[in-house]
Amino acid sequence: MPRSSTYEVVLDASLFTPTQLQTTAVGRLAFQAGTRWMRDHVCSHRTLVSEHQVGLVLWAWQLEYEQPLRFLDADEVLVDVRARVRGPKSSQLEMEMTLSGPAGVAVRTRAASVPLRLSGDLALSGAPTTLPDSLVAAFHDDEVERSPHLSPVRRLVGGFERDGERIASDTTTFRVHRHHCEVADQWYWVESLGFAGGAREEFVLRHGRKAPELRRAMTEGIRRVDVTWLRAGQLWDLLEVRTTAYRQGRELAFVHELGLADEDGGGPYAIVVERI
Amino acid sequence: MIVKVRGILLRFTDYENEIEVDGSTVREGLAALTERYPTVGEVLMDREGSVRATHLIALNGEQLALDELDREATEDDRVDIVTAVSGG
Repeated sequence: MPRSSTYEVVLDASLFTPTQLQTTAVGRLAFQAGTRWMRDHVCSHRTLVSEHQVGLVLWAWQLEYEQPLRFLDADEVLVDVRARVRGPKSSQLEMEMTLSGPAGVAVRTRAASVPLRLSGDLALSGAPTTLPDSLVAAFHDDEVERSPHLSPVRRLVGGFERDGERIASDTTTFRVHRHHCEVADQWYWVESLGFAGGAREEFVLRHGRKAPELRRAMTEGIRRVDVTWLRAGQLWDLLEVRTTAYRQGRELAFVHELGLADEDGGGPYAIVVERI
Repeated sequence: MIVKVRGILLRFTDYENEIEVDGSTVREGLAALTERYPTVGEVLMDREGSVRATHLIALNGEQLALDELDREATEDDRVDIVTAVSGG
């Protein structure tokens, strides 16, 4: 049986919107949960970086809202997190987390990271690698899965373009400041959920009069988020978030492409898909 | 030439992001930069003095291979240093 780490988190009002847990709050709790699992069963994040010279960069994340959980529903939630090495060459680390409240599982997340071999410089720069054998050995047999984790983002975006109806497109700019960053002055991945959410709200403000259904993005909350990261935003980068909204049946979807406002030819940083 | 430094490297240049340096080639410009900011040299270069593979150097937007750093650069040219990925 794959090992899990299970613990309680006390809830406070800052974690919630009027209808559900904030996506950024779930992201922070998920990152903390994954870090805790690693510390409990393999090694701490600090040891991973300083002794094993391995970093982890998130490249795919999925968030599903299941049972309702609002601020007034509970004093605490139960966090359960498990991890697996994935890929034929152990090139991914996958973390699955659930947060459970009185009605059952409120949110479920799945994150896939790729390991980096750090070059040893002060900037923590690194290049993609496979997970070293010494670390893979710390995982049990049922925590190693040879098939790779696949991100659904490209398929989803293709589906909206093919089968959905485009409502509108728009752009919003943000600058990456230090409070958006982690220790190496590159953006903390959770903040890209915040940039996407901010762009969605700007979108509703600008287009809600012409397309009132967009306001469902505020009233009903989010049902699912899928993200893929291609590059990391860095301190003082001026970001442009290109948002397109689609309707497909009863579903409303926002596709956010996050990239440099001053395009450098390297393509987008991340694609965030929010479904209502 | 102007060397443009981004995010991850900014703390090693005292948060100057566009730095005017002397030199007639990209390599000379980088040498002038690392002389002014020695910690940038430690981050950017390996023990043999070559640019680490985790950093990309571009001249006016064109990415340079390590053996192309002797390309000429005038005072109006722009050199970008981009750290490929960072972990931690």
